[in-house]
Amino acid sequence: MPLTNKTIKSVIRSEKFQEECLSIITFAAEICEMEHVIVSYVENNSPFVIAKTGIDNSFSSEKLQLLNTTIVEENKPKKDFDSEFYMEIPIVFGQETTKGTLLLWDSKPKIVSSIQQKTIDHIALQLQSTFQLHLQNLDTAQKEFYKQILDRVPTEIVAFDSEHRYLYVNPAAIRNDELRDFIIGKDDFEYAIHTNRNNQFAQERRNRFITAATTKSVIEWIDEIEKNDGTTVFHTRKFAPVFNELGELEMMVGFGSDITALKKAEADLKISNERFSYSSQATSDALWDWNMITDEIFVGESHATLFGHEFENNTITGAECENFIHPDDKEKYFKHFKEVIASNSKKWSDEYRYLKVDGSYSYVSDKAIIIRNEKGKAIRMIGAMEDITDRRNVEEQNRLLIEENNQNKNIQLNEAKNMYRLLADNTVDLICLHNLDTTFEYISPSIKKLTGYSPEELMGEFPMKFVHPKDLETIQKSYGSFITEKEDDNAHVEARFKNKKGDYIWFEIKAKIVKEDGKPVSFQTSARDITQKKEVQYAMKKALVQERELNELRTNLVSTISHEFRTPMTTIRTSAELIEMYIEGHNFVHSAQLQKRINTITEEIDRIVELMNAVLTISKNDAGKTNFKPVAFDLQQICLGVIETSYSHQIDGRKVKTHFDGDNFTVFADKNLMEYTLFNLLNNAFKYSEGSGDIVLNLKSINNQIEIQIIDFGIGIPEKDIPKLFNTFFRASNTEGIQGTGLGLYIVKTFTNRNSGTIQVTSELGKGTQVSLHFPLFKS
Amino acid sequence: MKKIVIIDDEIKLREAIVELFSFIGYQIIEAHDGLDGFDQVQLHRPDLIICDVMMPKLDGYGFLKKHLASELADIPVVLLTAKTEELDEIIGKGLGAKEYIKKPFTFQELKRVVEKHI
Repeated sequence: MPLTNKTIKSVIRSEKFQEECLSIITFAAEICEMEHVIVSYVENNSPFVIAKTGIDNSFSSEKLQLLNTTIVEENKPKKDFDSEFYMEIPIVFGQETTKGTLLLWDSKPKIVSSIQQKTIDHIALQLQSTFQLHLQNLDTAQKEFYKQILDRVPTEIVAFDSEHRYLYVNPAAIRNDELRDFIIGKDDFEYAIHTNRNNQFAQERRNRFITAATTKSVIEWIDEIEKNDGTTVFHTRKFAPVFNELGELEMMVGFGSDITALKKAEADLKISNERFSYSSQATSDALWDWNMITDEIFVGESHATLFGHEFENNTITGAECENFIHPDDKEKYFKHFKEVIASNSKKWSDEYRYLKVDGSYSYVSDKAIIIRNEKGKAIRMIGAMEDITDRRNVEEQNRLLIEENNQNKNIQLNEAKNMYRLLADNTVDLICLHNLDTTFEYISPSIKKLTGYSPEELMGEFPMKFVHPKDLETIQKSYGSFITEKEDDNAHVEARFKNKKGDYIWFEIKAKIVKEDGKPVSFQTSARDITQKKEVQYAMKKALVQERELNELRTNLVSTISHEFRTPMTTIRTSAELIEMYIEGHNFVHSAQLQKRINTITEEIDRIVELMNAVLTISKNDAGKTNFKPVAFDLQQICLGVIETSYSHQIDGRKVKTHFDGDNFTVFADKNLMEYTLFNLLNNAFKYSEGSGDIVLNLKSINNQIEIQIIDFGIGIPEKDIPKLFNTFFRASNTEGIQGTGLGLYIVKTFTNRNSGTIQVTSELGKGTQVSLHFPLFKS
Repeated sequence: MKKIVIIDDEIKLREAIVELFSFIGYQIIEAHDGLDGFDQVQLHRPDLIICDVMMPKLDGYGFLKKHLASELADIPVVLLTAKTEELDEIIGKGLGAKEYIKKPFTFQELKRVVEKHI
C-alpha cells in the first residue's frame, strides 16, 4: 500500500493510535518525573497534538502552538521558552517530510539522568514504531478487505502485467487453488501446456491483448468452450488496459462471466418462438401469445389469413385488439374475461364476433391458457382463435328449425296420443277368457291383428279347432293337467295356431284359473306371437346341425384320406426295404449314397404317417368322436406303465428317473388320453435333450391336487415361443433338424383339458424344459 | 420251403411283399381278393396266410370267417389293414386272426410276425 499523506493522517487521527501514544508518554512522564509530555505532528505547517500529559494551566494552547511551530521549523530547543526545564525530540512519522515531536518540560529545573535520557529516546522510537505498526495494520486490513471482495465476486477477474503474464487471478476465474497459484507469473501459453490443452486459445488471447494495448481501448468477446463432459459453456470476456502517467501499459485487467444459462435461455426462447411460428403455420387457427406485463400480443401467421389484419412484427397491443371485438359483444366479453383473470383459473375461453379487415365480422371461438406468477397474477396468455362463422350459421339455421318444430309440437302431441291408443289396441298380447270347456268368453281386439279374425267371429268357438295337429296332443295334455291340478297352477305351452289365411302362427300361451268362492269358473290365457323367435331358433338349430355335419364330413374325409394313404405308403416303404436287402453285401460305387436315399425315403414315410395320425386324432376330437371314458385310476401306475413299455430300453441308455411324493394318486380321467399325453411329453423330453442326461418325472399329491412334472435338461425353448407352443403346426425356432409335426402339444393340451387338467411349460434356453400337469385328486 | 399265401388287391404292395419273402426263402402264392385267396389256400395248403382287410368281392373279415369255417382253419392268418381304430383290431382278433398289422408296417415287423406263427 503506497504511503500517502492521507494514510498517515488516517493513522495519526485514529483514536486507537492516539490512546496508545498517550499511554506511552504517560509512562515517560512518570519515569522521568516530568510535568508535561506532549506528542505532536505538523500538518499543513500547523502543529497537531496527538497526545499530551500534565495539568499545567498556565501553558496555553496558543503558547503551545507557537512552541511547536518553532520546534518543527527549526528542529531545535527554544531557549526563551518560559520554563525551567525543556526538552524536545523529533519523531519521523513515515516519510521524512512528515515530522512530529516528543516534547517534555517542567516548571522546575531538572537534571536528566543518563537512564532517563535513554528512556526518552526509547519512548520516541517506541512512538515511531507504534505508528509504523498501525500503518501496517491498516495496510493489511485494507488488503484483506479488497481480497475478500475479489475472492467473492462471481465475476472472473484477472490482472496481467504488460507482458501478458498473470499478476492476479480470482477464484471465480480459476477455481482450482493449485492452478491459481501456479499461474501467477506465467502466461496463457504456459497455462495451455500445463493443462494439456491446445494453445489456440492462448494465441487468440495474445492477439486480443495486443489489440487492447495498442488501441488503448476495452475490448469484449464471447468464448465458447467445450468441456470434457461434452457440454458447451459460454463466457463473456473483457480486456481493459491500464496505463501509467507516461502512457505506458502498466497492466491489463481482464473480466469474464459465465453466460451459459443466459445463452441457453436465449436459445430456448428462440426455439419456443420458432415452435410458436411453426405451430401457428401448421394450424388454421390464429395463435396468439400475450405478454401481459409489456402488453404485447404476438399473433401467428393465420391471423392475417383468417381476418386480413397485418401488423408490424406480427405484434399488437391488448388495447388495439379490443377494438376488433364487436361492440355488442364487448360487455359480455370483458365481464367474463375479468372474472377469469381475477380467479386462479389457468384456462380461458369465449366466443365472440371479431372484426375482419373488410369490415365484416367473423364468429370466433377463442381459447387460451393463462400463465400466472407465483403470486397468482396473470402474466402471459397463449391462445388460439378459431373461425366458427360457418358453424354458427348452421347453429342459427338449426335454431330456426327447432323453433318451427316447436310450433308444430302441440299438433304432434295430439297425434301421438291417438297413435298410442292405436298402438295399445294393436300390439298388446292376446288376452282371452275361456269357459271351463275352453270356449272363448272374451277375446281382446289384438286377435284381429294376430290372426285376422275379429273377436266376434271367434266368440264361443273352441280354440283346439285352430291348433296345429302336431301340437294338439301337447296342448290337450297341458290343458288337462292344468284344469285338474290344484289351485295356483300356471300352465305354459308353446303351440301353432291357424290364422284366417290358413297359415300357422307360433304362440306362447300362459293360462291361469279364475275362481269364485274357491271354485274354478273359468280360465284366462295370454298369448304372444313367437313365430319370429321360433324361426330364429329353427335357423340356429339348422346351422348347428350343418356345422356338425360339416365337422363330421371333414373327419370322415381326413379319416378316409389317411386310410387311403396307408397302402401306398406301405408299398413305398417295403420297396425301399427291398432295395436295401438287394444291395446288402454288394459294393457299388454309390452304395453309401443309395443307402442314404433309402433311409431318407423310410424316414419321410414315417414323418407323413406321424403327421397323418396327429391330424386324424385332432379331427376326431373336433368332431367329438374321441372315445372318452373317464374312470378312477392310479396315475402312478399309468406313469410307471408308460415308462416301462416305451422308455425302459432307450438306445442311448438314458432313463426316466421317477420321484413320488404322496400316497394317493387317484384321478378321474380317460386312461388312453392320459397315456397318450404322458407318452407324448416323455417323447418330447427325450427328443429335445439328446446327450443331456436322464429325464425326470416327479409325481406329487398335495392339497387335493396331483402334479406331474416332466423335466429334461436339453435345448430348452426360446422365451418368445412359449406362448405359441400349444398352437397347431407350431414348432419352436430352435427345433430345426429334429423331427416333429407341431401338433403333439396341441393334442396334449386338448386331452389334458378333457381330463380336467391344466398344463404349464417353463423353460430356459439351453438349460432344459419343465412341463407341469395338474389334475384334481379323485376322492371316492 | 415254407409256403405263404398272400391275399391283397393292391398289386404293387403284393409284389413287394412277394419279393421280400422270396428273397429270404419262402414260397409265395398270390391272390387278389378274398375269394381268390380262399381258393389258393385250399389249393396250396400254405403254412401261413397274409391277408389284407379291405378288398373287393370278399374282404379280409369275410375271408377270415370262411377260412375259419373250413378244414384248414388251423393255418394262421395275419391281417393287414389301414384301419387304425382299436375297434377294427378287436374285431379282427375276435374273429380269430393270429395277428393284426397296421399299415404302414416295416418288413422287419411283418417278418417277425410271420416267423412267430409259422
